[in-house]
Amino acid sequence: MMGKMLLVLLSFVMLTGCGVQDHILEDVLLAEVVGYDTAEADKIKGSTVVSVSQSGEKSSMGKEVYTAVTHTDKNVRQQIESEAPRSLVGGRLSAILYGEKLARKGIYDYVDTYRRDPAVGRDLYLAVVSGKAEDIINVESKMLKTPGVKTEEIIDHNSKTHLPETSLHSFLYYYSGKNMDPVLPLLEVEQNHIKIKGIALFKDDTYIGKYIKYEDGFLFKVLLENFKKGVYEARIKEHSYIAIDNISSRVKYEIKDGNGSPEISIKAKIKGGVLEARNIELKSQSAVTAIEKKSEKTLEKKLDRMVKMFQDNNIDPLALGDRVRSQTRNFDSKHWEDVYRTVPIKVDVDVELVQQGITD
Amino acid sequence: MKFFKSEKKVPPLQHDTSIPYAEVPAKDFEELFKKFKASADFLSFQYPSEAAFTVSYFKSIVGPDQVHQEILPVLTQQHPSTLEEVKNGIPVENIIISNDLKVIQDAVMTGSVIIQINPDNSHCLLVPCASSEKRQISIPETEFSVVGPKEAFVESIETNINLIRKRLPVPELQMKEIKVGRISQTRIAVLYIDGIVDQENVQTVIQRISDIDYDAIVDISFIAQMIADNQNSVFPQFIDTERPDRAASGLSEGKVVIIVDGSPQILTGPTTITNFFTAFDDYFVTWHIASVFRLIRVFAVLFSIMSTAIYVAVTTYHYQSIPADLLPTLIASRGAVPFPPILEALVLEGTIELLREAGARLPTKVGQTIGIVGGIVIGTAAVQAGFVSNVLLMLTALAALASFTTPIYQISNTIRIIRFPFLLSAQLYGLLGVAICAAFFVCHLLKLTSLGRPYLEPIFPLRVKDLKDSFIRLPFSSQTQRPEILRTEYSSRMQPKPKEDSRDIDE
Repeated sequence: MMGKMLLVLLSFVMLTGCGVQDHILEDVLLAEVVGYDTAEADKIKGSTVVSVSQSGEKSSMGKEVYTAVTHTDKNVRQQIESEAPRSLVGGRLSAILYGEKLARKGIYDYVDTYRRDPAVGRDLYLAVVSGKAEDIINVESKMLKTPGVKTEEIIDHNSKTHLPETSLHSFLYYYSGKNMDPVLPLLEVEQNHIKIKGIALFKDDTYIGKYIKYEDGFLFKVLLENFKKGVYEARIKEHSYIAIDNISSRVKYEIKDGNGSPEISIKAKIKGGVLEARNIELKSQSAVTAIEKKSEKTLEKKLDRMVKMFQDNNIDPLALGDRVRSQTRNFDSKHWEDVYRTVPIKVDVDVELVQQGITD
Repeated sequence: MKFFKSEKKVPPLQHDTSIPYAEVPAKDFEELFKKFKASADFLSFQYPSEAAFTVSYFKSIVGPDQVHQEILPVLTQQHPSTLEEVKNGIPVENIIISNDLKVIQDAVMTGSVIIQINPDNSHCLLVPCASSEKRQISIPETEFSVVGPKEAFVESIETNINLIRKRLPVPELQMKEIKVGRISQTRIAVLYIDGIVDQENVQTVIQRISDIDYDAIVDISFIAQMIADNQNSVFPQFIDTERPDRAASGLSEGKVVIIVDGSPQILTGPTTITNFFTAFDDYFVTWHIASVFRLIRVFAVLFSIMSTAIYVAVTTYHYQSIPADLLPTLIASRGAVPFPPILEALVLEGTIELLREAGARLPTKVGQTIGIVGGIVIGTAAVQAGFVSNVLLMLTALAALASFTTPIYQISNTIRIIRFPFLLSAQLYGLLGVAICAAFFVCHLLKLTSLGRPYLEPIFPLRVKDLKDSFIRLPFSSQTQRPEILRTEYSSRMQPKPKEDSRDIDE
């Protein structure tokens, strides 16, 4: 008994020799954002922001940028190691950025390497940068006022209102799933600030060069999922706008004849409050109803155009194909791909203004 | 290993028979008296005059007043001629006349006075008049409570039994007495309430105590260790308490109480791990408050065991899991420290243990100063010198504080010790190591028993009924049954009331 115990204890200690590798917190470089761009002659340029610990001072982390130009992605890390004072670790990565040019060539190879790494979380953000990813990296490294990674924070708080959820996990889901395409946030640098330009549209892993404008991100989110935040400004008539504060938005897909000639009707119901009403009278119930009708029409028009644009480009960011599959027995995926561009899709929006705020 | 053994044969030690064990009395009366007279405090004199009675006793354990007022006057005034007449004359109970050497030796050594008529006659009259010094009953110190009784046990077994008996004035409260210890002849009492207690528990206790073979039983902690189910466990398997109210309440639940003469603590058993998180003043406050306090204690203990281990694991292996807002603070405080986290943690835990040990050994007044000086001065200095990080300093100080929230002193020692295996395994394998270590301790606890009853009850085996008084305490109206773990012969604590009709508003 005693011998057995000793053996267990001994093996517990001895097994640490088999490569238990430690990463002591202050002895590693924590990569925070990584960016990839195309470089000359089929090469890629990787750049990364790392936080550098500064002992003694509280709550201030220095940031440094490392860049390298190589053929493969992991090699970028090797190259960076050659100039880094300590080993670079990816466990705290919060965002991976891809330059526009690279994204148009397809990004899966550069996503795959992070998919395989167990140290990397599944909840980090991927994004496309209008222009060069390196620019964002450079801006990011200068933002030191508060702790935290700006790129991550910007995407994080916008994904409650204007962006669909775009983590590594959901990208892989939409990429690997049949009859659907991923979307990623599109970032840009404007006057030394990182800014969301819109939602970049993908065909499989390739950026098609088109995007949904940031303001219309709310509309895309209305179609994609149920959510409870966000503001949308609808134009009622010339010089009069109404800002609708979303209280609850629900979407329902009705699908007919998935394997034959499918018909899709998307029903969205937005319960909202009036945040701002410029040049609009909201005193009587009938006026409110009229405004509701008017804004419904505006939204429907925009959404119809958006869906049409998806069909014209033969992309499916709403995962319509997958929704049809889930409601059709013996779904014929091949047939769907053939008819997708011509499927009649009807968007029906129901706006209900449940609060008008404090008036008079 | 044979190589290292010397070939020389050591002759076996002579078995020393001269040690006067209680079971081996002297050969004859002369020899016994010779042994007595070897001690300077043994008095032997002729009274009232030469060739009259011989009176002899150990003056250090006999009450002189009793001898002067009750024994000597009888010899002078009544002029008895036989021991029988003396016996009738002396107004003291339990006087015996004996020529059994063992009886004589036992009686003399516990404070009896020997009276002989003829020195050659080995028949002796033994008058018990022991006087023993004892402390006044004082306030409980290790189990202090703000409300509730303020009595604590003292070193005298009679006083202690008195404290219990006056709380439970029923003849069913019964007591068995056993003497243990070859030299110390310690009196050990086993108390229980007949009709409630499971006789099997009583038998187990009595059997284990009678099986003890040791020279001197100085304190109850000796007994607690000797009769434990698993003597190699770090977990205490009996609750020792200095509160008579806790003892009485344990007895009424169906527990067995062990009292040792000379020890101001008593043992109750069988015990489960939840009892160690139960302070007796939990019953003095309403059940909501008591439940919250108990849960706080449980979390405090978990925190105390795990906090430094998790700190080491996270800073050494799992930099991913630190919240982003905490990271700069943590790195800034770790940055100045030249040691890896494990050394840092060991240094700090070591310091805290030093303070604790020094505080416990030194006299109260100095001890307090040491605690404050050590805590504040050494702590601040260590951080400023860059020996430890202030995050860890805070964690360790909290952990030390948390380990004192347990009401039973013995378990707080356990918590203090089992932190170190967790710390080391955190260094070896990170959080996986902490999990492995936790699994090891859980396995150990699952196997552990107290007087043959499962230690982890009511969690495993799950006995939902016993949860009513474990990590939470339900109101007294729900405490109608005694704990199932005690297998009581009569389990109801009160007459079940007939259900009241719900009052209608029309009535």
